[in-house]
Amino acid sequence: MTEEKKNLTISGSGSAPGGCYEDVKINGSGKIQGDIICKSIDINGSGRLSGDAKASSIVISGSGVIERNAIAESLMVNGSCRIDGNVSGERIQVNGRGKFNRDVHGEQVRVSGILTVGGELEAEDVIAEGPLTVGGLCSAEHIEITLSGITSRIKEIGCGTLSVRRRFPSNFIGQIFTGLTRKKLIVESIEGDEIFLEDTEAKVVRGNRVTIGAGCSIGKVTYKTDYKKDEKAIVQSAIKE
Amino acid sequence: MPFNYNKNPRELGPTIEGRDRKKTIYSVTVLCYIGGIQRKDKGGSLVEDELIAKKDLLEITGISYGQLYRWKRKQLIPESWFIRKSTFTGQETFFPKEKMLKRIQAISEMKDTLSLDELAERFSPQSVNKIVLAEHDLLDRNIVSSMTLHVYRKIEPDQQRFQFEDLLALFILDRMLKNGSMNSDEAKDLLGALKAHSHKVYDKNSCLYFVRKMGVPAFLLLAENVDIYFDNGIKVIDKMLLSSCIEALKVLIDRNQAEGPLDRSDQNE
Repeated sequence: MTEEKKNLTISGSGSAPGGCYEDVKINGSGKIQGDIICKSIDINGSGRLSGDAKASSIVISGSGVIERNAIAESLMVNGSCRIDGNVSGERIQVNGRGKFNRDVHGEQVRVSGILTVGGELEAEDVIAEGPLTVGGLCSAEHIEITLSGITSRIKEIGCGTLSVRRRFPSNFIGQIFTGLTRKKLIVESIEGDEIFLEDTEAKVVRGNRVTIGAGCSIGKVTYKTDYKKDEKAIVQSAIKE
Repeated sequence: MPFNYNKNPRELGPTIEGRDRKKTIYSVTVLCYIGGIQRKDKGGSLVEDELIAKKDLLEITGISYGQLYRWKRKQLIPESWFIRKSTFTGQETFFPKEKMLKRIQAISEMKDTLSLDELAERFSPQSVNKIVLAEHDLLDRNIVSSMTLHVYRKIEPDQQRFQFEDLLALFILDRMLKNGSMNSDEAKDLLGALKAHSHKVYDKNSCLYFVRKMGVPAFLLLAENVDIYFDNGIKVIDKMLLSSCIEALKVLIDRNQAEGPLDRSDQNE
C-alpha cells in the first residue's frame, strides 16, 4: 500500500481524471473529471473540477470552478472562484472574487475582495474588508466588517463580537464622494454579545452591549447592559431588557 | 421541573390518544398534562411540543447570544431545534422547550470539565456507534429489567454483545412493557421494526408509533415527527420520540460508566 502518489500537471490545455494525487497544478486551462483527493491544488490559469475536491491546500490564482464540495485546510482565492457545493476549511482567504453557492464552514475567514455565500457562513473569525454577501446566517465568534466597494447584504448575524466600520477614504477625491457613495451593510437581524455598528441598516439588533454609530438606520434595538447611540444614527426604538 | 402545566388550560390533554392524534409539531401551545398524571415513566417523550422563544430562553437560562451561536456552530444544539416562525415583531426563532432546557443544563454542567469539541462528540448522534455492552452490563446498569431481558432472550437466545441499536430496542421495549401498553407477544414485532430500521433514523427527529386496529398491533417508525392521521378504527397506544429515548439511554449509559450502577428513577431528572 505504499504506492507513491503522482503529481498531476496540466500545462496548456487538457483534461484529466480525478483520483488521488500528490500535487495538482493547472497552468493553462484544465478540467478534472471526477472527485479528487490530493495534497495541494494549484490553479494558475483556468480550472474546472467537476467533482468533490479534498486537499490540504487549494490555491486558485486565475479562475476556478469547483462543481461540488471543497474541503481544504487552507483555501485561497486570488482570482475568481465559484464553488457550487459546501466549503469547509480552516483558513479561507478570498482576495479576489469568491462565489460559494452553499454553506461555508471555516475557522478563519478573511475577505479582502468580494465574497458571496449562498447558504450559511460559520467560522470562528470573519474579517471582511470588502463586500460580503451571505444568504443565510453568518455566525462567528468575532466578525469584523470594513465596508467598502458595493453594498454588503447579510440575512442574519449571530456572534460574540461584531464590529462594522466604514472605511475612511485615503485621498481627497474619495473624501468628496463619500457622501454620495456611502457603502452600507443591510441585515435583517443581528444578535450578539458586543455589537458596534456604523452605516448599517437593520430591522432588529439584540445584544448585551450595543453601540450604534453614525449612519445607521435601525428598527429596534434591545440590549441588556449598555447602549450608546450616535446622534447621526436613526433608531426607531431601543428597549432595555 | 421547568414546566408550566397551566399555560393554556383549554389545551389540557384529555387522553394520550386523543391528544396525539391532533398534535401539530409547530404548535406553540400544545402541551399540558394535568399535574396529577405521572410523567415519570414516559421520560418526557410524550410532552415535547411546547416551544420557547429565543429571548425567553436566554432569560431563563442566563446564557448570551454569543454562547448560543457558539454552541450551535459546534453542533451542540441540532439545527432542527431552531424553528423559525413569523410573529408580529418579525421572524423569530423558537426552540422545543424541554429538550433545549435539558441540553443547556447538560452543557453548562459539563463545560467546565470537557471542551466544547468533546461535548459535541458526546451529543452527536453518531457517537453511539462505539457503544457495545455485554448482558451483565445491561442488568448492572439498570438499562433493562430482567423481565424484559427474558422476553428478549426468547427472541434472540444467543446474542452476547449488544450494539447501541440493540440497547435502544431493549430500552424502548422495557419502557413499553413497563407502562403496560404492550404485551410480551408483541415484543417481537417491535424488536423487528427497531432492529431493521432504527439505525437509519438516529440523527433525525424520528418517532415511533404503536397502534392497534381491532386488537391487531402495528408499529410505525417515522423518520420525521410529522402529523399522521389514521382512520377511526385505529387507536394510538403509544408514541415515543426516538431522539429523547436515545438521550435518556445515553445519559443512563454515561452516568453508569462514571459512577457505577444507580437507581433508575434518576434518569428523568
